[in-house]
Amino acid sequence: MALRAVHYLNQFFAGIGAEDKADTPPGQREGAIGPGRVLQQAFGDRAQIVATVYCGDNHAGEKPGAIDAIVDLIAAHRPDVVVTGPAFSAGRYGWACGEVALRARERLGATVVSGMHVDNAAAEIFRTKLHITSTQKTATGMADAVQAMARLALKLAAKSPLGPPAEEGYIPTGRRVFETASRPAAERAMEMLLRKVRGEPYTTEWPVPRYNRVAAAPPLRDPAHATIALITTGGLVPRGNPDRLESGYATKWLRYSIDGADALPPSRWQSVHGGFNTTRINEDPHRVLPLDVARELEREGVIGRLHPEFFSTTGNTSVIPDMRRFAQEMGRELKAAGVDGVILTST
Amino acid sequence: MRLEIGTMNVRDVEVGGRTELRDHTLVVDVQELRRLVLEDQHFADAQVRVVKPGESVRIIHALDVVEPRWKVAGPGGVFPGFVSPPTTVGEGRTNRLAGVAVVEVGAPVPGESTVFRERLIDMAGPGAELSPFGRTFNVVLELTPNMAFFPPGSEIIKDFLTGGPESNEYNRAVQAAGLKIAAHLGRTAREATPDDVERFELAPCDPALPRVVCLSQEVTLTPFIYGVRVSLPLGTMLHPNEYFDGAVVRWNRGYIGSTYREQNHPILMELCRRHGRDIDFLGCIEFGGVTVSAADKEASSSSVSKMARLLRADAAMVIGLNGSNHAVDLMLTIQKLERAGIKTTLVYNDVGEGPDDPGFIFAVPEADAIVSSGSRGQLVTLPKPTTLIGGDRLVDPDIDARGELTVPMRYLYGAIDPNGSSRLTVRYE
Repeated sequence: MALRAVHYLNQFFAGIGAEDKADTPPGQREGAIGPGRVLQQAFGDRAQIVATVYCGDNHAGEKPGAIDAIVDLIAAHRPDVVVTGPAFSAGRYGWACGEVALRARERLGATVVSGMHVDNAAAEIFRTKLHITSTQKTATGMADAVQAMARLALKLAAKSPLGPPAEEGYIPTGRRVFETASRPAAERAMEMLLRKVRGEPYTTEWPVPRYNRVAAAPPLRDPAHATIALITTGGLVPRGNPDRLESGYATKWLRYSIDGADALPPSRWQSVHGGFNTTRINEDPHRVLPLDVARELEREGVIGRLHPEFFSTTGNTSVIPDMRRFAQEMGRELKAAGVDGVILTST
Repeated sequence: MRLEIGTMNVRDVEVGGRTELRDHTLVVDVQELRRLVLEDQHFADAQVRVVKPGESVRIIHALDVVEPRWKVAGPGGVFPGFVSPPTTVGEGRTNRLAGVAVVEVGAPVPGESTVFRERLIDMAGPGAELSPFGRTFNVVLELTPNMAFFPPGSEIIKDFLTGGPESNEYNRAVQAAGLKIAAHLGRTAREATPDDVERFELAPCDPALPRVVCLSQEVTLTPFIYGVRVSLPLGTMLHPNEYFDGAVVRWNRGYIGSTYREQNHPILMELCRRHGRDIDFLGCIEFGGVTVSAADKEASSSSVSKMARLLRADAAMVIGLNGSNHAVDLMLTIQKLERAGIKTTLVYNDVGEGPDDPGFIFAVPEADAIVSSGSRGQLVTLPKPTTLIGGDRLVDPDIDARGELTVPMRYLYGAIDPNGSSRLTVRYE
């Protein structure tokens, strides 16, 4: 018997309209529409798209309860499979696709699959929780994306073992499956090396993670007129840690005023970092936040002025997505405040 | 350098009045072995026992594991720097007692760092299937320290990784004891006719074959090479035969292998067997150790990759040790090799846990051919044994060892092997 599938789309792919219709509330159509038609073809007779549920991107992202309202519409169709997107590199749409898929799996126990470009911010949020087909950046990659999503959804629904992410076309989930290989590592390595040196195809057993490289900003042209901010990942907080910054796995960053202050006395500041011996910093907090020297440079006219707040978090066993978010939030704020440069002290 | 390794397949080990190899049975005079161990003043007592595969025995606080070998012909002797003079080995004939292992066992001594220390062996059940030393006849040396070597104050741990100087000295004595007994047992095979003889030689071969070097990384807990224990950030070269003769002795902790796995080094043996057929094997570069700054790491990776270039290598088999800052040295080395046109394959243990942890402290895109040789964090459940050797409790973390245990795979001696003997692997979805 064919599986019952529901497809989720945003207002654009559902044919409601573009950005001006991003506030569209959740709605539905019978059967497959838009990209869903290609998806249905890819499913063949193994799954039937019984309904398409859609929502405007702003509505889905901003309206409280919107995701549950979307999943309510999906639930009424008792789906075995829920496919969301593909969202390509659209961030808000990607987020909605991820949330709808997660919630549909939690509430309905359905098999869920989404599709996104690997650089979509939502891919980093959801890749460990969902199977997300790796797509191109734009809808020109629709046909391939939908084919791969259908294949993946059918495999997952049938509980067939998946091949490696690169082969199945999904973004690595980070899930580890412990196995016993047919041959010891030494023999497998020998074969891989021979293939590589002979120019034959080879596949790594363990793909290295992609780290987004950050290009260094050009040097400040005129430091004497620049505003400089101080940031540390050394876990520096007021003594007693009133805001409860974590010692590791930080979930937040904090800001503290240094307006008019020339020094960070150890009686008032401490580090709560859990990844190194903090004795030296607690003797002299300037070892992790050089306010004393920065003030001197300010007085000497080497730098223009110091930003009146410093930012602090703990860089210890941190999760990359959280750290990326901290950086983006800090960056936006510093830019808005007209800060030209940052002295970032890590540990 | 041509080395013949004569293998005696030992089918049983018995306790008897005279240590000898009787056909395929090794007879062990445990009192004689005890006396040999107690020649070293570092020990107040030693218990020597034989445990066999299938017995419901758990050995905890296992330190190094060594295979009995003896140099029958050729320069030097086995375990140079400990048992024999530190002259170059790897030639002539060495006989080995296959299926036998000497296991040093001891609780931590004052001032000894217990981090990375605990390794255990189960002689039956799932643990015996996963650990190669659950399937060998083990001559277990349970050692009691002479406390006169630990004056007041020696319990203070000055260096977190290696422990205090007294504990270091003592643990070197532990290793020397294990090697001495392994050589003594190996000597029983000096006049025997081996069941099998394999020749290892890197003779000149077809110049069209790809030139392959092996890079083997060390960490802060560096091994002894010819009895010398120094950090090797700039690398040093060894012939594979030197490993087979026991020139590389593992420091007895750190989840990073055993002397047994250097003597029976699966990657080096594989490379040797392919020499002249599929590859031109050039030898092995041992490198790594303490590199505390970015400059040290740059110097280390530059030096090691340059050695491979000097050897005009086309490819490098890389044995990496994951899990700390030395991952940076390793990855920089791979990057420099690849950029110099030297193709790399890395054998690497996974230390990551949880989907948000990629298992790499640091990685470069050039590391595009990795064999996953198992996860040190994978949990394994080991049933309650009848007999316990070495004590009742694991240290760091403190766990009662008498009952069923669920521990990370790194605790099970040799189950995860940097040198590639294990079939355990991880698939990444």
